[in-house]
Amino acid sequence: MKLAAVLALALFATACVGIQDTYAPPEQRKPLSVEEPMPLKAFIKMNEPGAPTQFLKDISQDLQGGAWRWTQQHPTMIFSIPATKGIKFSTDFTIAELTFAQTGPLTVSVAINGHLLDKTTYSRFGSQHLEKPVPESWLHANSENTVAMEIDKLWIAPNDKATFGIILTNAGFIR
Amino acid sequence: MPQAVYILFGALFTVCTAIALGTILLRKRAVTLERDEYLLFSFVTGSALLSTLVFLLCTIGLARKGVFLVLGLMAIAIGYRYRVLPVRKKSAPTLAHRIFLLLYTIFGVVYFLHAMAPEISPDGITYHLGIVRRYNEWHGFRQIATSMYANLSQGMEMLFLFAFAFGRHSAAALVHFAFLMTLPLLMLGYARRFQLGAAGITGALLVFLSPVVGIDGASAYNDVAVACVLFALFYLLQITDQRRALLIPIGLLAGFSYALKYTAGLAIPYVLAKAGRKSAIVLLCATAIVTPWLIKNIVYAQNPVAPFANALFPNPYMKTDFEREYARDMRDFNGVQYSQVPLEVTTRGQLLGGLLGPMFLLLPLSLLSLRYPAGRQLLLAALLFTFPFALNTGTRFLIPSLPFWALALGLAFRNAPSAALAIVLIHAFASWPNGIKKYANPYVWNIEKISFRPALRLVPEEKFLTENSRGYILARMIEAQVPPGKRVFAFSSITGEAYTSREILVSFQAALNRTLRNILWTPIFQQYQAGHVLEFRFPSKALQKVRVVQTAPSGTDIWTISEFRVLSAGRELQRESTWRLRANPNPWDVQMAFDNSPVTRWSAAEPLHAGMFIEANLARTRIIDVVRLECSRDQYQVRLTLEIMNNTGHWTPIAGEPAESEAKPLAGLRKAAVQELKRNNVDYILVDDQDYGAADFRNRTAEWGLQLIDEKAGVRLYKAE
Repeated sequence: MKLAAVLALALFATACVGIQDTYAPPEQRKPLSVEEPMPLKAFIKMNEPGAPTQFLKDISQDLQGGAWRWTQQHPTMIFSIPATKGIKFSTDFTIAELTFAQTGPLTVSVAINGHLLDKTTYSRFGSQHLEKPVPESWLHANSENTVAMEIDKLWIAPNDKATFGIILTNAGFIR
Repeated sequence: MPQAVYILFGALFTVCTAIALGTILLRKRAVTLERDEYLLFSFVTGSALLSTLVFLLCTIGLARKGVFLVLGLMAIAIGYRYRVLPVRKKSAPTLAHRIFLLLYTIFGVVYFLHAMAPEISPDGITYHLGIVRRYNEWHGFRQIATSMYANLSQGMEMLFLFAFAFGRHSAAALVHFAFLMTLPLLMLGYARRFQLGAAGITGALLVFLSPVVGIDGASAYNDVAVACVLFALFYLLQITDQRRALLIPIGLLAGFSYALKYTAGLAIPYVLAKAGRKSAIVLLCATAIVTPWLIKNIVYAQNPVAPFANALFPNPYMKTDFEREYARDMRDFNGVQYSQVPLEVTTRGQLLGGLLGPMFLLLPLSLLSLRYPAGRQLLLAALLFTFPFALNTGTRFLIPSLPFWALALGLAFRNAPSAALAIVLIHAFASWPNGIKKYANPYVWNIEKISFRPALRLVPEEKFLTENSRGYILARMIEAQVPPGKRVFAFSSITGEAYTSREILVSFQAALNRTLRNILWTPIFQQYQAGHVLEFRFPSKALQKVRVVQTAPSGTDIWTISEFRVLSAGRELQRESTWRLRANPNPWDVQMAFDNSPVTRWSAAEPLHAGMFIEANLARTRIIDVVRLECSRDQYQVRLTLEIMNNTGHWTPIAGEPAESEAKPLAGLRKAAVQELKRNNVDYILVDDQDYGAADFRNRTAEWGLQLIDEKAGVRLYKAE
């Protein structure tokens, strides 16, 4: 036991290394501006600089043609609205001729904060506009409101098997 | 040459080298054993020697395939000269022996195929082999300050490294498999030597067939090796007629227990107590194996028992708060209560990460073995080696004690062979992959499929790994997207680090990683933000040294300061390079309170006690009237006082209670946080959809100053812009 104690003490004594005591101030970081962070908008065009900050899912980060973005199957966005009364959901999107040739009629549904607002089957390609009043009770003022769209079929590129949904131009809430 | 050949060579060469080293040792010590015992003990004691030799090679940067080859061939050549082939006693095998042989063979093949298949075990591909891969690349040790696992004793990893150099991951798993196959034979040998009848067969099969033992032993883990070494040690201690000759092997195995796993170091006091007056030789041998690990940690971690006992050995790499959090999480595994443990470890299996099998519900009957002297010895060892389970409540942490419990249970049924047979057969059925599905949680960790195709590489390794391991998919994503030498921060341990050469900083695995995690959480969680301002105001005074002292006697909160500012007539003094900053505890992070960054914080890194302080020496006398602290709100128990050093060199309080106010919210915290990561040479962040704050990274990627560069298996890889 004595031997054990001596060995242990000798070893643990070696762990008593000197600890650096003082430090100089480090490189000083630039002060940050005292501003509120960029607020969420009620309505976004896909080519707005801050638009991607409102994307939750399945909307391409790449802006196409300076105006639109491809979606996948469940494009989802968040919006903030100042009040909930008399609000309509509005979106413009396009069903591409190329994709329509493979997918046929597309059913697009829209849910606001988990409530199904609209489910429409589009039996022709081209530009579409959806505008529909949203029940007041579904919405939250000055808070995040989630818009989840669902496209029932995706176009699959024959070459690389990449998938595409619809072409989204804008979306959000209007009065 | 086919990959399978390299794998088998790596494993076999390691095992043969260990056997050769063990044979030399046992023969030199003139130990007399049965033929079967010789082989088994040669392997186990030789493993202790080989592991230590590999350690030494690592310290001098010679952990290379060529060196291993020469070392192994030399050992095998010398060991061959010392081989012993005593005449084996011939006796007709009993029914029990035939059953043992049948089940040992069938399950042994299943385990072999699993071990031989590409390695996908959670801990195997993250840290056990992740660290081995790095040692193999470096040909030895280097400091790994970003993973606590690099500081645990790595006796098993040294054997893995030897095998890995030839056959990579699967060769390492097969080395563990060798311990798995050895353990039941040792148990059988013990029962035969001490005439315990069929108790040995019952006990050995209970352990060997147990689902968690099977998958653990067939993976690059170390629990079964620990069980094997502890049992070998116990076995040797019972051989009283040649105790003197066995003192050195006993000492080496006791030390090797510690080298395999800290908690198995309990073997050392156990052995010393048993060795009595001869304990000095045992202790010296154990010390020879243990000391290198302690020294390695002193050199690389400033703490011989890192990552634990950080209060006793303060160091910049692991902190007390981390240790407490880790210990709490390990004790409270998945929130399972002790009352749930029996059913969880025997029949459900998912929450505690493994399954012993329902037959282990009979374990209380093992107390019936108390009527035998051997039973009492077994139960004593069982109790001792079960103790670490209380600190780490995963099923696999019961494995080291399992041979003792199982043999005691077998002994309880010594006079009821039919009952023992029924127990073994039911256990075999309940342990077979299809049998497990009938009663256990579907997500329990066990061998699910039996297939020889992946083992023989008839299914390409890449294909198998991609289909079966999320960790591998992420490792390959990182390998493809992150340039060599760049580091990746990850909130959770999800990457198969054994399959990438990039350094992954997992948030909970080291002090730096934890700091980076807190920095990234600061913009997301308001509680972390420096929204609380404390101002110590006093009449203008000429002074050089000022400090803030924490006075609350105790508390669970962690004291932190985001910014420590010194003001004169309403203007902040510019921090000059001649200033000297100190803090106690955690002096290493004091600069974080003086960097002007709202996302970094100095932290005491341990629970509150009176006398903690943070100090600024302004290098020359300055007129000041305000000391302002910017702090987060998550420290309600903290009580602060300001002290200045007077002319006599004593600290005296000044200014009384600080005035409190709210700080204005700042924009750009996210970008500032990412910039701090870049300052720490971390350019990539890996975020699992399940991680806290994942949605924020997803939704505000641009605000963070990040770019999404890849996404796989629900995990996103971001690059700092």
